[in-house]
Amino acid sequence: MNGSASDTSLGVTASPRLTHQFAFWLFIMLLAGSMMVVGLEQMAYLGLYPGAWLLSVVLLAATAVPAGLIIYRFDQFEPEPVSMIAIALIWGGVIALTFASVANSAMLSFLQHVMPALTVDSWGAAIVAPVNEELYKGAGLVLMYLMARAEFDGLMDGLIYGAMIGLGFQVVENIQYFMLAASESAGGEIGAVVSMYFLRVVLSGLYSHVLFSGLMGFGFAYFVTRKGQEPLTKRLGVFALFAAASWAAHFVWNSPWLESLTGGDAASLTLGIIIKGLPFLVFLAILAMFARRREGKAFARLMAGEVGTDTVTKEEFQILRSGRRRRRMLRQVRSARGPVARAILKRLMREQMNLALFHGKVESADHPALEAQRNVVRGLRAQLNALS
Amino acid sequence: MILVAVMFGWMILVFILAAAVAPLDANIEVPVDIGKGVIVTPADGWYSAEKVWDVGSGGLSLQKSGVYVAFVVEDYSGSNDELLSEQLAALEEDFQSLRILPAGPILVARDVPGLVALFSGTSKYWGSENELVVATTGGMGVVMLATASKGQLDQVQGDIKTMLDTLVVPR
Repeated sequence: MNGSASDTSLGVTASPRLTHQFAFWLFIMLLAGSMMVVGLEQMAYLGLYPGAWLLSVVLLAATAVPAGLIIYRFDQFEPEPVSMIAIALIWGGVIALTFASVANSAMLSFLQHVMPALTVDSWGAAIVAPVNEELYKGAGLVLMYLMARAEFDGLMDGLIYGAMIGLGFQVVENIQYFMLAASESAGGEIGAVVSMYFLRVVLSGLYSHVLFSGLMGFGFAYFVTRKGQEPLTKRLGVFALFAAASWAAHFVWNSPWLESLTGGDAASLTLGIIIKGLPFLVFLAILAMFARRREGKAFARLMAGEVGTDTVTKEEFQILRSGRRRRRMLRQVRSARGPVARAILKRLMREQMNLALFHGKVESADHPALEAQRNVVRGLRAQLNALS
Repeated sequence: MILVAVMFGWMILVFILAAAVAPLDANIEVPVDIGKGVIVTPADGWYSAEKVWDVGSGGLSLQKSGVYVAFVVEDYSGSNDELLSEQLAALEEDFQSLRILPAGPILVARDVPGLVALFSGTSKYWGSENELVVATTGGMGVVMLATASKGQLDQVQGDIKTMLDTLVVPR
C-alpha cells in the first residue's frame, strides 16, 4: 500500500511488516555476508584509484538515479514501497553480484578444462554470465515475493522489481569494469573511466541488466499473480519462457557475434550494439506498455464507483489516468497558487488513486476502510479549497 | 530454505564440476618452431595472439586472459647486456615515460644464461606491467616480451617460467 494515513489502521490488507518475515532476516544474513566481499572490494578500489573510484560513483549516480526514478514511476497507479525498491537494488548490487561472481569464476574454470582456450576466451562470458547472474538475480525476486506477497499484485510489479534488481547489479558491476579500465590505463585513469562510462552506460546501458532482469521479473509476476486464474503448467511455461528470454538476451549481448562489426569505428560499434540489444529492448518496452495498459484498465474499473462523486470528479479522473496530465496540472497549480497548494494537490491525487487500491481490497463499496479513505480525500480537497 | 539451498547448491555444484575436471586439459599445446631451430611450447591455456600482436615470421605471439607474450629469434653476435640495451632503447620509442627496474640473471632453455628486466610506464601500446627476457647463444638472440594490465603479470609468471624453461634453443 502506498502511505495512506488510514490503510493499516483500518485493517485493509497491507503487507505484513518486513521485519516479521523470515525471508527478510534471510535477506539480512545474506546481505551481511555479501557486504563483506563487496565492501572490501570497494575499499580496495578506493585505496588504489581514489580519483577514478569517486568519478565512477558520481557518473553512475548521475545516470542510475534518473533511470531508477523512471522505472519507479512507471507504475503510476501503485508505486512500489521504497523499502522494497531498496531491497531490490541492494539484492542486485550486493547479494546477486557476490554469488554470481563466485559461481562465474568456478564455472569459467570448469569451461577452461573442457573447452579450447580460444573458445573460452571468446564465448566464456556468454555461457557463464547469463546462467549464474540471471539465476541469482531471479532468486531476489523469489525472496522479495516471500517477504511481501501483497506487493506482487500485477505484472508491472514484477517488471519493476526485476528492473531494479538489474539496476543495482549493473551499477556495482560497472564500478568493477571502470576500475579494471583504470588499472589498465597506465596512468590515464580518469580518461579510462570516462571511456568505459561512454561504452557501458551511454552506448549500451539500456541493454544491460535492467533489461535482462526486467524480462525475468515480468515472467515471475505472471507466475505468482495468475495463481487461481491460469493452470500451473501455463504459469510455469510462461515463467520459463521469460526466464529463457532473459538468459537469451544476456547471452546474445555477451557473445562475440558481430564482433567484427563492433571492432571497427564508432559508427559500426554503435550499429553492432543496436543490432544485439534493440530487439530485446523493444520486446521489453512492448511488455511494459502492455502491463501499463492493463493497470490503466484495472484502475478505471476499480474507480468506476467513485467517478462523478465528491471524491473524484469526471475531470479529475481524466487527469488521474495520465501521468503527463497529472504533472501538467501540478505545474499549473504551483504557478497559480504556490508550492503549498501543489503539495496538497499532489497528496490529494495520490489518495484519490489509493481509492482504487481500496476498492480492490474490500468486498463492499461501503466498507469502513473505504469510507475513511474517502474522508481523507474530502479533507485534502477542503484544505486545497481553503487555500484559494 | 529451498531458495537458500538453490543459491548455495548451485554454487557448490559448479565448484564440484570445476574440481572434477581440473585434471583434464582441453588444450593440446603444440610446440612451434619460430625459426633457427628455436621451439616454443605454449603453456596450458595459451593460444595465438597473431591477430592482436603480429611479430612477423621469426616470432610467435601468445595470449591468455588478457596477457600477451611474444617470442622472437634473430641473428645476433653481441652479448646479453647489449641485446637488452638495444631492446629497451627500441621500446622507449613506444613510451611517453618508461621506468625500467634493474635487470637480473635468468636461465632460458634450462641452462642458457639470459637477462630479465621488468618495465612500466605510459604507453598506448603496452600494458601497465611488462617483462623483457633476452638470451644470446650460438650467434642468435632470443627475446621474450610480456605485457599485461596491473596485477595480471604476476598471475602468469608460472606459465612464463615454464615456457622459458621448455624453450628449445640449438647449441
